Amino acid sequence: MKISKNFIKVIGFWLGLFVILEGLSLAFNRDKNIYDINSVKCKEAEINAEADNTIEVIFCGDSECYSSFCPLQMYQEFGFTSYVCATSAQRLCDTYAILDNTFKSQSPKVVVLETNCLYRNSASDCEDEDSVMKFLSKHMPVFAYHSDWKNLGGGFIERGRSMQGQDFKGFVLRKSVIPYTGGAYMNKTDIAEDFSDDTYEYLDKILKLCQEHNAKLMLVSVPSPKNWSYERHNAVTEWVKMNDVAYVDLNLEHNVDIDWLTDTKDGGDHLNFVGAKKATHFMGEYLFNNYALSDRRKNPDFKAWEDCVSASGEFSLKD
Amino acid sequence: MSYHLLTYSLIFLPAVMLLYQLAPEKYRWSVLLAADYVFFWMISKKLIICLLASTVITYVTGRVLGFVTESGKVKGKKLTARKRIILACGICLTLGLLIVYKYLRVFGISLIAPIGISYYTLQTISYMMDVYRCTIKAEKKFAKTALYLSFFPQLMEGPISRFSDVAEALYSGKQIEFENLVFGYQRIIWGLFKKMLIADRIAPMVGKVFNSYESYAGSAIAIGVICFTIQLYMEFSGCMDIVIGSGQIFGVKLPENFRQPFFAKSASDFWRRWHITLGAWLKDYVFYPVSLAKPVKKIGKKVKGIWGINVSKFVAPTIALFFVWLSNGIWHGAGWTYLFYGMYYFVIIFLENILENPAAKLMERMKLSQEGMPVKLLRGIKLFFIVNIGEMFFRAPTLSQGFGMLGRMLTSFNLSALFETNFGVDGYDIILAVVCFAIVMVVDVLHEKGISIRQRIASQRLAVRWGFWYAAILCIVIFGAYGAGYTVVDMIYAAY
Repeated sequence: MKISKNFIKVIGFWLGLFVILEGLSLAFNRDKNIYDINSVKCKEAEINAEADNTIEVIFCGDSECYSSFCPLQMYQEFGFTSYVCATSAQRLCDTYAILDNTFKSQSPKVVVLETNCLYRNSASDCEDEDSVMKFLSKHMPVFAYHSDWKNLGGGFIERGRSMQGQDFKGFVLRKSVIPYTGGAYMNKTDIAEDFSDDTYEYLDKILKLCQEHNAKLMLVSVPSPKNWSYERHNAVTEWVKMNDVAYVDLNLEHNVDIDWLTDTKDGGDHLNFVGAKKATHFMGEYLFNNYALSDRRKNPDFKAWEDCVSASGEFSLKD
Repeated sequence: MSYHLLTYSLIFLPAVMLLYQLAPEKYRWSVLLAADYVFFWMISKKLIICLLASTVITYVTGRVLGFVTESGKVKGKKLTARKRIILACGICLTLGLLIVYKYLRVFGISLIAPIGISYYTLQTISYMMDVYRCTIKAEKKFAKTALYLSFFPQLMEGPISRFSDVAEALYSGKQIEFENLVFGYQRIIWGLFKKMLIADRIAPMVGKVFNSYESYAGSAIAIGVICFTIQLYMEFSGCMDIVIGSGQIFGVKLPENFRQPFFAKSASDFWRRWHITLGAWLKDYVFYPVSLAKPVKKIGKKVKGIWGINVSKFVAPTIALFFVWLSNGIWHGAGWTYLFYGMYYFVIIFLENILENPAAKLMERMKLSQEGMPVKLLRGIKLFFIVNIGEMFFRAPTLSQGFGMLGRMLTSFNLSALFETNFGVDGYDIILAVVCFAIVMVVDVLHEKGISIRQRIASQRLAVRWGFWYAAILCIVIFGAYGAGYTVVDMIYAAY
């Protein structure tokens, strides 16, 4: 009798919990085409804070991208304005959402997509080593989109710049050095490491979105022995050839002159500030020479950019 | 598989419970043992052979020690000498496995260690020494020894239990009681709260500061260090809640590993409240044997002859204390930071010991009460610095980076820079972490006063009880640091 009473209690408790979670799932249901809603909202707030139609180049991608390209340095050296819309572990579904928002207030001439994110899950499915959590996230939106609580009531904490103390236009400055000593990693081969179907689908959507807004899409691979290989280079090359998109692989560009003993922050995964300066200079020059970008340095309307450069002096951007 | 994953608490644990409950009482131990080895296999695969080897060594050593003692063929000093040799062989073999997997990296040989080797090796030693000391009888059943060494909830991070405390409960095969089931799962929920709402939420802040401290002002480094101390406490004590809760379900009372450490009065008191079972193990198997060793006694006598009893009374405890902290440091890993961490606490506790009487006299002269607010406040501030500086060196990638962080905190603190710092977490996460940490501290205050919250809740009406636990679960589901934008962090102490 006691056992059956306890058994009913246990079943009752779990049933109650199930009903509550299902109910909450209705409240937490949302646009399923965004994975990391908070990073997307944060980046949207940042780009929305920029004056309308002032950005000429948009960089997208994951941490490889925001560690490698410094818009303030490009502005200093070449005069054009750019913004890094990369976020940590960015998926292409989020890239698309960020770009879609960006085109509402900006008219960039070029969208540069860093390719490391092509080898992530591109859709918004949950990825978790915990198979129960993965299952629950798939079937109950409250698990998948639980961090939307930050957006309830419109968000009571100001977003924008929250990832950065200083306004580096999306670039994240990293000064630490852990050398990479693994030697050559771009070993020539004909093998290509294909993307997932979702990646192809989102690449096509992003290309179409850029075309609709008269922006040129180009792909770039930043130097990274930990993440990049010739097989990946081949797959990207195949796609860009088929779609007539420009592609620069900095892993094969000797002019970038990366010294893996000093230019990486974490043993060949990301570039540090020294490496970023080299990658930024190369990309700045490439973009300036290949696209009709404007030199805004003497334009009084862009005084805010001059102020940003002055404010960043502490970090020796000019070195 | 790890304790903080739902796969553990919602699939593995219930599956073991079901099989355990369905099995006849006299075979329930075999369900637990099978679960232990399946659990180990899921994490360390072929290295299960190491666990098995340690178990065999421990069992055989215990049996031989028991046989030599009980046979009565040799007695007196000869018996002691023979037992010592047997014990030394047993300890050398199990310790040898630990050294091979954990410390050969000093010589550039890096092997993947079996999960929990540091914990179960200490249990093998405690078992063998207890049999040697005749505080327990050598276990005749191999399965019982194996169960004691491999009980799955405590395999990854302890607590380091004693054979006499848990073996009987593990082997008895008592049925799962409803109250134990409910209380066990409640404790697991509390552990997940600490891990998922606090520890994993502040982990990115800690990682950023410790991995590139050069980019941060001293004030930001200080915040990173404090956050690491909080992260470590939340994570390790949270894991212990899950572990002890799991044990409770099967009627096994595992020892507590934390007792409100931030309410300690001194560094030594802190270590009686933090990782309690490691401290107790070191006290029983390092401190006492060293302080009672003949060479140490001889040194004490010599010192007494030269400087008198007031100095000599510190000799044996200090030498033993040195070995305790040396062992503590080395146990954590093969790195200068761990060695420094051990020696850091040795120096501090040594100073506390020798200054205890002069400080008490000084306070008496100044008419200050030990329990007065000014003394409590000063004590709290002192402990705050001791603990956080210790944890800073413990977490720093290298010793020189630890000193670099300390130097930066002392030379360029720059409080205003704090508001310009990017810690990699947003304002919501910071607010939530602060609120949740405050909740844990309130619970700690209540525990310190001897108030059991679970008992209080259990005495309420069903609607209140269920409402409370639903709220706790929903807090974890909604505010937990998992999924998009977060990284689930592996258990820190599982790496030691």
